[in-house]
Amino acid sequence: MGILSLIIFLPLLGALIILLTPRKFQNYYKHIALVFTLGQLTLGGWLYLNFDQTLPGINKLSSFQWLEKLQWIRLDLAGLGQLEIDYLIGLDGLSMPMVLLSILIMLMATVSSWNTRKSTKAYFTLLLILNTAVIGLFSALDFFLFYIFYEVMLLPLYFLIGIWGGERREYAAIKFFLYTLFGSVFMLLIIVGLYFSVINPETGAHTFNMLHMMDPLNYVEHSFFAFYNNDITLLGLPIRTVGFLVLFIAFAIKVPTFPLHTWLPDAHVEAPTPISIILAGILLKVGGYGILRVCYGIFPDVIPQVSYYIGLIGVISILYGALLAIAQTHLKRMVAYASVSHMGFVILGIASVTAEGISGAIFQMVSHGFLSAGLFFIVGMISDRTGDLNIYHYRGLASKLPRTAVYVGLLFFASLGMPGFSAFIGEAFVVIGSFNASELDIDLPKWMAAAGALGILMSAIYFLWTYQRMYFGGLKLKGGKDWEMALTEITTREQVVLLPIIALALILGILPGILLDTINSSVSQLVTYIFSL
Amino acid sequence: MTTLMQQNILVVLLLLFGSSLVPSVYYFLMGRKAKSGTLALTASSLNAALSVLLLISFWGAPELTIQGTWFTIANRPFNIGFLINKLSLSMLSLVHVIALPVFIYSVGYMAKDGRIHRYWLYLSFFCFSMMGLVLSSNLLMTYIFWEFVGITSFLLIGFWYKKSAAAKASKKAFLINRIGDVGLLVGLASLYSVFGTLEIQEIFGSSGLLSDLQQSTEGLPTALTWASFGFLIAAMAKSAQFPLHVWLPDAMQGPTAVSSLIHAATMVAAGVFLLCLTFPLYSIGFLEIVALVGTATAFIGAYSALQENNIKKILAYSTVSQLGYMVAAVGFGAPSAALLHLFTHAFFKCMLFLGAGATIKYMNEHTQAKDPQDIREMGGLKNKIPLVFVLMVVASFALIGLPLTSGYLSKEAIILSGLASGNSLGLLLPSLLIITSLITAYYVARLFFMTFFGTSRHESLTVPAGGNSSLRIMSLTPCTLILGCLFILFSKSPGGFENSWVYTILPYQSADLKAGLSQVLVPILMVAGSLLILLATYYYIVVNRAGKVNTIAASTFNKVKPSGPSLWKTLVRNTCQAASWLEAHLIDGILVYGATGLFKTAKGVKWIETHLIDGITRLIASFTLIASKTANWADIHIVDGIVNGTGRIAKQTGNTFRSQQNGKLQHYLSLVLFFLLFGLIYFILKR
Repeated sequence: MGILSLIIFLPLLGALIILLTPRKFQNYYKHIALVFTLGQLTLGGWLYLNFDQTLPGINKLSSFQWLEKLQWIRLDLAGLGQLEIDYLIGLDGLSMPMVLLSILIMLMATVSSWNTRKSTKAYFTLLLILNTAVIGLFSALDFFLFYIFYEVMLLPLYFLIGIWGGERREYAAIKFFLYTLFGSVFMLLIIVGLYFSVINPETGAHTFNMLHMMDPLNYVEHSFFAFYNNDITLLGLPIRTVGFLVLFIAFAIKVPTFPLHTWLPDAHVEAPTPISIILAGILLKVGGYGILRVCYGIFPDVIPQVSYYIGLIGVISILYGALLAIAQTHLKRMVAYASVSHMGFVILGIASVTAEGISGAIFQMVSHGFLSAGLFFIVGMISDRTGDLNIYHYRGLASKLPRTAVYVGLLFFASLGMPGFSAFIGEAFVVIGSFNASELDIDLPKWMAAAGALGILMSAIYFLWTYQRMYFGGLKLKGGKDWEMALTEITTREQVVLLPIIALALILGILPGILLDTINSSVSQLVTYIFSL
Repeated sequence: MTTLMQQNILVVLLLLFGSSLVPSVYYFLMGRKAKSGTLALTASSLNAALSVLLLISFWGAPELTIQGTWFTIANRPFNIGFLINKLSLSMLSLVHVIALPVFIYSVGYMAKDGRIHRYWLYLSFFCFSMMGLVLSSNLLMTYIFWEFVGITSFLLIGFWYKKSAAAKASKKAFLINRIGDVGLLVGLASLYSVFGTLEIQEIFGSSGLLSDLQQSTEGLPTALTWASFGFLIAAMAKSAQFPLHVWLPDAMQGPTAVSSLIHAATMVAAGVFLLCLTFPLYSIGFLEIVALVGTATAFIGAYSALQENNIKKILAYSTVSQLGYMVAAVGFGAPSAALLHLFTHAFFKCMLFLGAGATIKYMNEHTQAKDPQDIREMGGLKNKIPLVFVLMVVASFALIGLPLTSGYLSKEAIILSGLASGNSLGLLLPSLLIITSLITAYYVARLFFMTFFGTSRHESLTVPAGGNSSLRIMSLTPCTLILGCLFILFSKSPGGFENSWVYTILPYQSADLKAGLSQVLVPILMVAGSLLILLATYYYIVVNRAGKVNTIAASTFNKVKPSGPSLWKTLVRNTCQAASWLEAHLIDGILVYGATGLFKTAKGVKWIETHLIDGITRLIASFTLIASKTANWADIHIVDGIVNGTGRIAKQTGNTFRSQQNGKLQHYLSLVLFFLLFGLIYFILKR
């Protein structure tokens, strides 16, 4: 078993141990979870330090790292040939940051679950299963394996929201579940279609191997998704375009983009803080990662036809999400819509198909990963203390909680794209890349880039407004004396969570090379690969 | 020394940046425990000394770029780099030379503030950011530090955040500055899309990519137009140009020392600096827009100043107006004139603010004035705070542009280049600027006479011993800037702006000034007009208010000591008599009514300002709010409504199909079989 598999399945082992530990030790479940996540972090850190940044990955299997290949399912389907499903995992510059980010966010979520009381056994078991699914998803190179992890990820989340959530948790959980399922059901159809169209050149059997799907020569002539001379249409669209779009919709739901975003605010508002952190920190990134790895990887020929629309969706998400964030009076909803707006940058950057734009998009994903985790953590801090998240019920908190105000201020300013913090690099390069696109004959007009830049302005509006509204002025609380008692200064445990987030945002903001060097050769490879077709 | 500096340039840069960053980090980490400003002051002195030394040692030296790769995206390096040339070093020196007295002044001004550690933190960080902004060798870094100065400005305007006016003003300033940031980002992104680099020298250098492109016969890409407009919007927001100037008067909610450094001398000039830096980019047609924006700002700023009674706001509007001059100069194709005015203005406006701060402090501590910033509450202060009075005299003269001052030098430069430029609006813009400079004379005189002359409107309170020490610091430190108000610092002759060393900073050819009649006449006209207005205002304000309209000549005469030489005495007597006649017949008749008329129009302009210009800002704000509310409604009722509707339909459909779900295993099995068969048939047919 390779180290990557170890990282994937370590949490599963932890889950098993928790399940087998009798209930009288239930106070230690969180410690077990923490130990396993920390172990995972150690291994992940080792992976990162030994990661060869020059290897591009993407469509070259040999240049993936920590590659593991096991023949998993071989089934002779008589006339239909051999069913070939591999346990194929490996990392390249695209997945490495995502894996590390997931581990970090999981650690953060574990620490912020410290005060969970309700059936901790199930809670931490589910959390660890989710962990396995997420890391597996980012490492999988076999589409079938990818799909399995994708689906496995869904179930723990459903229960975590539906059981440990707020008042309307069941509505939110089922909405979240149905939305994602809607996307993934159709994704399965495409996967099957691709399976029957692609042949492993070595064995001659149909395959789920994603890298084989990226080579036009592996497509069977006149097959369903045949790369060349394919005139099959569905609803008037070429079938490969349909394939792209269906996969895109599946991932766009995850991102989420307008108009597929309405599950997000509900899920966030109802989810407990740690789950919000995971949702914003990891789940949304599955969408962006999926678009790059799967949509762009397998259907690169479709990109020129759709880049305009993808960009449009990105821009609408940015502006629409920002407008909605401005309108919110509920702090958690505000942060949730801010997520929609910030993830819009990811879509816009991806649509630019330039190295700058895609690098910016990945940077934005990572940066938004921990910054939004931090934002939800702050929201959780307030709701732990007073249980009320109406922005207008607070004023002048800065004089009561000066230290908290510094933390919140730093996080808000980091999130609104202040230079020196990570979000700035992401957003700036998305804008630079999308401006660049039109010079490279990509169908992405300049006004979209400019509109994206406008989104940066709007994010300043809602963050600043909220900050000023809640923290500036004289102290005035709706809950009166009770709240004044309840609103205590930030605790050490809370600082332990927030400090690394801010430090990370600062480090990546000042030394963006840490991340950009990791992804650079993969991004270049992806862009070259797309343009070579 | 020179070679020493040149050889160790890296060390010097490290010292410069370090000595601003170290205090920032120190005050951040120490928090309330750090009370004394010693560290910040030491660092500031070091910075001032180093930057001036650097300027002197590199004055004749060739341009130098020091850079290292910051990160790489697809073979394109993005650098951390510093451009060492005349422009960057002179800007650097300006920032630090002005910052030093402001730092010292702050010791007195902020003496009793409980959050003084934050103040030093922000101010040190401001110096750091400003340094990065002027020294940076590529536009990405410029952009980063551009935002940094914006945020320090925000933090300092809202320094007294418990005051809701301050909190609001800081928010407004930040958001309007963010519009500029977006402009700058769009601008640099467009340049990047054309040139594939953001290095300033590579693009704008004398044989850079831009000049190659301009010389080639192919048409210029539209991205350059995007870039021009992006940079203009950036400059308009940062340098408070109409209609994005609305944040600057509100920014006066911050501490006065901050207003003097950031919102008068240095940060607000960054927009002009940017325009000078990117000057080769602008086409002739575009420059006319720039000139129009600048002139409009100059005029509107001066007009708005007429109506104000708050001493800081008058100065703020004056800053707006003077920044308009600078932008107009760039528009006239004379960036050197803009730069000269940037330099001279920094000195005298900083002094004016520092003087105003001392005056306010005096009013606050020594009188019972309701609003210590209202010039109507002041009066007769020239005997109470004589040193401040002297300061204000010199600085005001420079602002009006009287001969021998530095302000005369730079204002003359701008107006003459305006006259020489082949602007399609002809003489309209320069004439407007001349009129503006006369209005300037009036509002400055008004501020000045109302504050320092006449009788005091409040009894002086006795202040316990030692209470005056901070006031003493505050009136002494600005004196160090007096030199910058005189022509001598900038040019050898009082009118020879073209021989000024500032004119050698920018490599661009400035427009040829015709040695025509206007060269001589216009300055005379301006000076004479300004003097006349000064005189008129003196009578109108000091004398009229005192109720001694017709005895003024006598009273003035009586003040002249009889011991003077008789010729001098006669001269004074005659002048006074002439003045008296003038006052009675001309000034009362024309100028006073003119002034009243001016006042009334100013009210109209103020109405336009508050209801239309600011109104538009508010309208945009409320429109955004309404749009966001609408979007919210649409999101809940339409987008989510469709979702829930789909859910309902699914439920209905589910109910219909529920009959299938009867729990009978054989039923399910037959269904599964049916679909399997269906699938198989499909694939068999397909083969």
